[in-house]
Amino acid sequence: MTHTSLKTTKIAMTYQRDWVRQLREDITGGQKFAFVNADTPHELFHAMGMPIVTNQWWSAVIAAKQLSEHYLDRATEMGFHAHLPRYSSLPLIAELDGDPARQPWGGLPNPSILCARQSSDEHQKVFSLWSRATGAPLHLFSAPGVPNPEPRWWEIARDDWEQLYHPDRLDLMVAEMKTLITTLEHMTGKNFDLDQFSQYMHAINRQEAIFEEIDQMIAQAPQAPLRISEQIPNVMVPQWHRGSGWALEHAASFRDEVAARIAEGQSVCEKERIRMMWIGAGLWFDTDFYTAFEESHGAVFVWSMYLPFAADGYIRTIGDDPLRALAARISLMNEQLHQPPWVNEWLVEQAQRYRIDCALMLVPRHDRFSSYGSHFARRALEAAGIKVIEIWSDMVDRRDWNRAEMQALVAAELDRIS
Amino acid sequence: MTSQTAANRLENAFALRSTELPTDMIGIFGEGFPEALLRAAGARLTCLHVAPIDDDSNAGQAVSDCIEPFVDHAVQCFLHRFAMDSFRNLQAIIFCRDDTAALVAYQYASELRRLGLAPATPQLILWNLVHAPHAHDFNMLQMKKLWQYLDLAPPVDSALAATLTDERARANALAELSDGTGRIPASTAIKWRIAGRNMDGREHAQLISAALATAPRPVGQSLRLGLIGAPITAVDLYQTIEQHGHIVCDLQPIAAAWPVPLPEIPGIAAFLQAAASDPACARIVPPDRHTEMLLRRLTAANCDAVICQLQPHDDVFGWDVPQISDYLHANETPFINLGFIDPAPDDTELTRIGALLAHELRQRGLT
Repeated sequence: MTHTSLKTTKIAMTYQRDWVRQLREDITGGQKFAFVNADTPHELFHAMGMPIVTNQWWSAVIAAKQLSEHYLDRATEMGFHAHLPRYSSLPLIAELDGDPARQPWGGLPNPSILCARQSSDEHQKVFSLWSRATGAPLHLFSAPGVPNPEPRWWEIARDDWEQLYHPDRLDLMVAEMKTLITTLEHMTGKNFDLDQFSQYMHAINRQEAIFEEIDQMIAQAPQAPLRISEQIPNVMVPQWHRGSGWALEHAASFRDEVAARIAEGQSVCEKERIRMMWIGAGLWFDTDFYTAFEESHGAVFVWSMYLPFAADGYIRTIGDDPLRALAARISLMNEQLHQPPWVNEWLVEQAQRYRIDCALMLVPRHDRFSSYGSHFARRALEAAGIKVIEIWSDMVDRRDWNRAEMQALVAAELDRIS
Repeated sequence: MTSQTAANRLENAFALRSTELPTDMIGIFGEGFPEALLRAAGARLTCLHVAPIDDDSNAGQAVSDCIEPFVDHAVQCFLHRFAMDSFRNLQAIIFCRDDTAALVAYQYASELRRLGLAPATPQLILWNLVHAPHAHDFNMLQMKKLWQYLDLAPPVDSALAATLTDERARANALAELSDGTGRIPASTAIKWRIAGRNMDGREHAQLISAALATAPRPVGQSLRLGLIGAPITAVDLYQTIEQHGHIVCDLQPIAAAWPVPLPEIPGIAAFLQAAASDPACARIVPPDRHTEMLLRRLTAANCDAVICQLQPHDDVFGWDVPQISDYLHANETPFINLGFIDPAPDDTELTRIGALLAHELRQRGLT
């Protein structure tokens, strides 16, 4: 049976393209928008009707347009050294380059507000420079560390998040969220409605629960029913619009289509022999790489973090304090995906659930926040019997990427498994 | 005490820093900790992140395999020493979250321990001090938790007042040590500064004052140099730079971020607020305060040139470099970026740095 794309993939891409087109018209027409980091509480902006553009998404768009080479070279010319993190800074460099015509969409207008969390050390610097360049005010969320971290965080994150994320950290984040809400109320002229927000948070939980169903179906299916390149838009586009009617509807359609595929016995690769996981952010400038080993080795990428993290990273029991539940979702979001002990334990759990044979681990050496803990993760996966191949490259910088060499390296390792 | 005796004691303390660890001291890893509060409570502190960078410390392949090559050199050395049980005499190690390297040191040390690759003692404590004006309640709570972790009673007012007096004396002595005249070479000043990280304020102040008593005033003209960039403890790097002039404004973090500012009045809240508003912390909110502090101090020092040095895995300071460069250019102060240097440079690296610096100064007509 020949593998075909999911209908929902096209629907998601079309929806996002239309939404982006509208957003572009709106913001170039003067509508206010926020430029925010991925690990900030987008929910507050959604609730206040303030459109957002996410830094890492915009970075991926720039990379996908094959513009990263130009901008990262320009960064060096501007005096930024060549070893600074790239994923979170590519949009800033594009802004500082001062040539909007070269950028996707003809560049972004100046945002009305900037928002970042001090999770990675460069965030406050990157956003501060952006603030200076555009005049937009910057709202920074603190990111105090977590003492005595709980390795199997996902087992308690949904219900016992108060204990997991520590009351003092949550108090601080809620206070900082309230400050942001006040700012957004001034900007939008709207009042924040806590009851409505609570309903909205419940809707997000329902959406993520649907993703959890899909995650379990894919993990348990005899063979991979879809590629991760289709998982990602079907998850991340609804995540962008999380809690909206469209997002829930799309998540349900995605679930139904995946279920039907599995029931029909469809798979990406009928000769699937090696099940692989892609660890780290996407390889945004060369997403075809994900399919490079299907024909030659029957090796299929079954797992990327975006789908399983929808459940473990997002679902939080809301109770009577939706802002606190939101703080529990956000206050360690990025760290859990990248740092020890959270990432290594979670990856092993995921690998075992998905019956993974081989993990390809992206290690961007100049994006240390995303790379810390890579060797702990490698150690844990290998101890669990999973082959690990490290890909020392960057998610948005193709200058370090030699496709032929990397493909040969991975193929040689897969030969040993086969 | 003679001037020479005091200088010898400071030199000796520098040489032995973090290698002789008497029982029950508390180790500090990272900049930004309000040490005076613990000293006032009777604790004895030792600073671990300024230890000699020792590539010979190796806890074995299993530990090495867990540490990526991009982890800071000082953290790598610390982790190996930790896994080798070098800190067994310490009561606890406190890691300052708002120091770039310290959070990683804490996470990796904790994980090595959890995996059975490092010993079960001493206690590892992550210290959260949020450098933002709205975080005072949070910071006070962290202090309260710290007393509990360390099983220490908070200091009484009289102890805080006495410690404040001692720490002011230290701050004054350090200001005199680095008074911008080049009276004491920065290569010596950094040693005497680091030497005091294991001493209380009064002892450190007395030693510096005594050592300075007979220090000669500089003779003749020399280039006035500023130094910024990565944290360094390599004295021979300083000496290489000093072959070309006096470092009269040393703003690399090991020199500029310790000790944290002191309050006007004693009190736990006041000490914490002073530390949390220290612009020497790169994570301070608003972020511009850090950069503005660097520019203000460079301007005040009236430098003939400012030298910048970077570590290959820097992900923070590099964002400030273009702004600092532009500012200095606008003020007609040459900015010399040495680029990436080895944090523990050998003779070959020092020769390379010396030649590069000489070339850059010559290009700008400064030799």
